[in-house]
Amino acid sequence: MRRVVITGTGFYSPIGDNMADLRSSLEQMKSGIRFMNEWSGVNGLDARIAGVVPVSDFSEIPRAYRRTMDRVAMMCALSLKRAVAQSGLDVSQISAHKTGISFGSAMGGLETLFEYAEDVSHNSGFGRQNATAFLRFMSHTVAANLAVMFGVIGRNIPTSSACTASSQAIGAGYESIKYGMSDVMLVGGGEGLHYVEAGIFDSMGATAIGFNDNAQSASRPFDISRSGLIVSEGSGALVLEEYEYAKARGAVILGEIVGYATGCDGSHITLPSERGMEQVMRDALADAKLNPEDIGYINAHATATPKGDIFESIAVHHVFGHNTPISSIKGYTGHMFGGGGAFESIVSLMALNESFLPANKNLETIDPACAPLDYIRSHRETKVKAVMNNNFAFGGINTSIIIKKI
Amino acid sequence: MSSEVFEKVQEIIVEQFEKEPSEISMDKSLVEDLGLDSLDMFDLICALEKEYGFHFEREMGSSIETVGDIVGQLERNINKA
Repeated sequence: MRRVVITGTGFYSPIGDNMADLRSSLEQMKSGIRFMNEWSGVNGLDARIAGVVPVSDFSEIPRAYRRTMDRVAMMCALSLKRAVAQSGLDVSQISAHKTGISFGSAMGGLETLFEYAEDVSHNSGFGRQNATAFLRFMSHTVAANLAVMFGVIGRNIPTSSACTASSQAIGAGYESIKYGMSDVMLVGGGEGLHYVEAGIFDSMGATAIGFNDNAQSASRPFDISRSGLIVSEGSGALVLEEYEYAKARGAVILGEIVGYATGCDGSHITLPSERGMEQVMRDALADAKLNPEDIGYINAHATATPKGDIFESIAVHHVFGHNTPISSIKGYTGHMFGGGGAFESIVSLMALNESFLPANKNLETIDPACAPLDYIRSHRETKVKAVMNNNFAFGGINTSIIIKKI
Repeated sequence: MSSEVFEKVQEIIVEQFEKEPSEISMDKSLVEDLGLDSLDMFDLICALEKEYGFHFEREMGSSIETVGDIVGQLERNINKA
């Protein structure tokens, strides 16, 4: 069976866009969530805080590519540029027939879509609309634009399953290589912040309320006083390669993806199912041919919603018992939606390679309704051989990724 | 009027397509010299429509080759108005 390794990563997040800053934020337990003065003119929002990537200059991307990119595609493009640079792949290898791409986001280019809809409705109709607007907001804008910018001619698998968009992209890349369709896959995803997302999750009662004047404490996975998620933005990109291909060209291998599974609850559109979560973890372990005790760290999805964290903890307990260290990093970042799966996989890779297990930020009192697990309260310097990253999305879509040292 | 309209067209091309003002003159081909493609042409016409408040017929776009062609079209529309 063909093996799949990671040879490059890149990301933007509210707590850093490089490994040193990311680790520093996690060590110091600094959150990237802040009050959004920019939303002061928006009526009816309960949660006025968000996780923000403090970057606005994307002029590094040539205009010919940038003109059809919304913020989400630009963050993904520069994340991938860094990942490719780290991998050492050259232009001919990126443009080879068996190099493909899989990227996703929950919303496409939401900022552009909203501006477009507003302009059509209130101002210009369709007479004076830019030809490039659709290309910036379409649901597969990230995968389409990145393929053009990087000159990819192999498979292109856009994903759009909300919170599992980029973890499914990693899975699509992993399976493409494992089953021989590709030698290299450029994978990941992202999300651009917009107040519409905060409003959407407000309407569903899913955002954290009562923390507008205390942003650092707002996102509280597994804590008894959690009240919901915080919307945020960011991106993550990984270069995946077939092991022999990477070895032959002398690439530095960062880790091996040994297991992946995706599954579906098939029960409720928003309410997660512990059965579905449990199954996807068991399926990933089976794919990896590993036992639960082989996993040294679990990066939880845990968005700090009242029910989601409980179901997830119970599912983890069913599979692992109570001894496997677990943390969610959404206490630092908020919920990056389409970017979360890829970014959290990169954090999991960091845990593996730096023997650094990040803590659950804002976990003061564990909710007694959550299952008894080894919740990490302050970061640990612990060597681990394999890590699991879990993500769960509306529609009951579940993913589990296992990464191992090579 | 030609100079005034040219300056506005130049300003829009500079801003929208990240060109230097010195690159733009009446005889420059939008595609060959300035590197615009079909999407850029639509966006240029859109920006001009917003600026001048009238509608370019779709076939008009295909008859435009140079910066001077745009300036000429704009002047004819301004004179008609």
